[in-house]
Amino acid sequence: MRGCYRLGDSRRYRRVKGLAKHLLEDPKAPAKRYFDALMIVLVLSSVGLLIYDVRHPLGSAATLFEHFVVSAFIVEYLLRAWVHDDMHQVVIDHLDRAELINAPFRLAPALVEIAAQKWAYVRSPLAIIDLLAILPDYRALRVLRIFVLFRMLKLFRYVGGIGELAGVLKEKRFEFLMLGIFLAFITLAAGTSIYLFEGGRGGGSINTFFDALYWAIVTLSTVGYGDITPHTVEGRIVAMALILAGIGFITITTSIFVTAMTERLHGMREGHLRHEIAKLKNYTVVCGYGRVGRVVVDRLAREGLPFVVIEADERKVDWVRRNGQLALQGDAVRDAVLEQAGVRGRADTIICTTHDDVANVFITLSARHMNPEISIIARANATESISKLELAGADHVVAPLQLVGLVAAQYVGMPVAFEAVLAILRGARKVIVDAITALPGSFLDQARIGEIDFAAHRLVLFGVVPGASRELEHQRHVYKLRGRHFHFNPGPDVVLGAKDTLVVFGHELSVAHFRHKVELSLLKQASSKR
Amino acid sequence: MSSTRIALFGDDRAVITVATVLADHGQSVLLVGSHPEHLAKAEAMGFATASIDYRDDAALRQLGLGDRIGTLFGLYSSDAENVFLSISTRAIAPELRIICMIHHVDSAPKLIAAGANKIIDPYEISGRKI
Repeated sequence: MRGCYRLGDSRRYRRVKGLAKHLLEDPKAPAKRYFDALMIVLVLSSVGLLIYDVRHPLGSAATLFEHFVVSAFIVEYLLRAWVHDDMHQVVIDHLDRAELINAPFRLAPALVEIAAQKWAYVRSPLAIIDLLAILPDYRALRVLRIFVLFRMLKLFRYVGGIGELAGVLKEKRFEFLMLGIFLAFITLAAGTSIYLFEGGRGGGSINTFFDALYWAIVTLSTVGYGDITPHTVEGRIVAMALILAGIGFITITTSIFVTAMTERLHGMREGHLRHEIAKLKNYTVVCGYGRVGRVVVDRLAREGLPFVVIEADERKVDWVRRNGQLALQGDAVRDAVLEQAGVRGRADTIICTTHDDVANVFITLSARHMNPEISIIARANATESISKLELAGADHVVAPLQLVGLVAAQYVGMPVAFEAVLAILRGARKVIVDAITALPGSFLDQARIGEIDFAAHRLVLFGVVPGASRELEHQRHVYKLRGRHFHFNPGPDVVLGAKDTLVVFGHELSVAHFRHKVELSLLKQASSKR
Repeated sequence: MSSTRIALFGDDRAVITVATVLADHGQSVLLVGSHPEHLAKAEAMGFATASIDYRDDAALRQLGLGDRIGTLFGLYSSDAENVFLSISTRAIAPELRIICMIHHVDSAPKLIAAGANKIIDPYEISGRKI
């Protein structure tokens, strides 16, 4: 008993067992794939050896290999039995229970429970297959060698897709049972009648009842070898009826399979999707593929950034998937859907663009709750919702209707500027407004605004957002911006500090070039110091 | 504080059920909703009602939250609506007592974050009673 407690406490024991469990049972473990591949190779090579063995004598190396394969199988079988449950845990539980009711501990019930748990493993279908794969090593019985084929069944364990087929069989077991009864009835009826009409008669080829059953099955399946054929009129009538029944039988079997498969296909596709999403990292989750969502998705796709769309409408989801993009069908208000999209961890941005502010607030709150680090951009349909979205934890709020107002106000004043602003907002002509950080140590750090030749870089300086805990002095046009300040069009004497952000306006190539130069100056600085 | 009136927000049976119990306890209640049919039913039962869209901040202010009304029940049938109601009303009246019904366990921390004081999970309570 003390041994049981010690075993439960031993870190090494738990680690070894955890490793074995990982290798054998965890479908996500990378090591399991190699293990599975190795086992598949072993199975296939041992079956290949069996086939080769039929016509060729085998050397001692092959026998040795066979022994190796079987030992591997035995070890695997025992390992699986071991990790199936914890024996010492059962003993500990029984001890605890005995202590709680102040009764003496008895070993027998604990042993019975352990035996029951292990028996549950031995009884499971896959374990039986494993055992059958080991048995044919006992070569005394030649007929047992056919059991080597059971090793093929072992492949079920290592190839995931086959599991789906087994699932179909299991799901439709009632239909298949009915078909089996139907098949048995027809075979028996046809076999009996052909035996009655033609059995043992001169000229007929049916000598035994087994021959009759064999003929019935061959005919029913529409295979029709033709080695046995009915010769009497009665026999031919039986054959005609049997052939018609056979066509019906095959059609029904096929249709059951096809419907079961299509029903499963949806689930399989979802599984594949989940797998695809699990592979992504630092991606964007777009909730709602409405008019705003579509623009966002198109832009993400154009820039080659990874993203996942969540949308409740099946037709929209189909549309996104047809474009070769990842989409989850579901209501983003539900936590499970967000979880599936990987909001709790791998995603780094979530964009809530449903047309319903109530849903947007809820999604924002859920996402912030799941992942405090994630950057949340939310769409506010009503102006009043902006503050609520910010309260719920959104980092940026976009109000489409307010943007319309903004643009419209521009239009009233200056139509030409309106065109320019609209062009920028729509991302046409590749003219953008972008932020460039004055990296510490780069030529922007401690530079005077007047010294930087923005015109030569084909850029226009909009303003400066000083880095945290810094404020520019003597500036007139200051706008509050989420805890920091935005200085519009700062004077030439303003000196930039490290981590200040420049907001510039220009062609995206010019912006990229300028940013590159800033980074380059940083590198030069570093190398000259060395 | 003289703000003793209780406002019940919601568009279905839940509101009338809760209002009946509260009225039996001698509380003054106001039923707020946007379904005319539901409100008519409540009025027929003798309750004071107000037809208001909870998304509209101006309308919420007019109700006198935190002033005439000291306690608010969020009884909408979706958690998202209750969260929105909590966020809106908490911003309008910081002193208001907000009590919300939830339909999904996961929503509880979100409602608290949105400003609700108390969460009631009817399914959990009923489940435990059984």
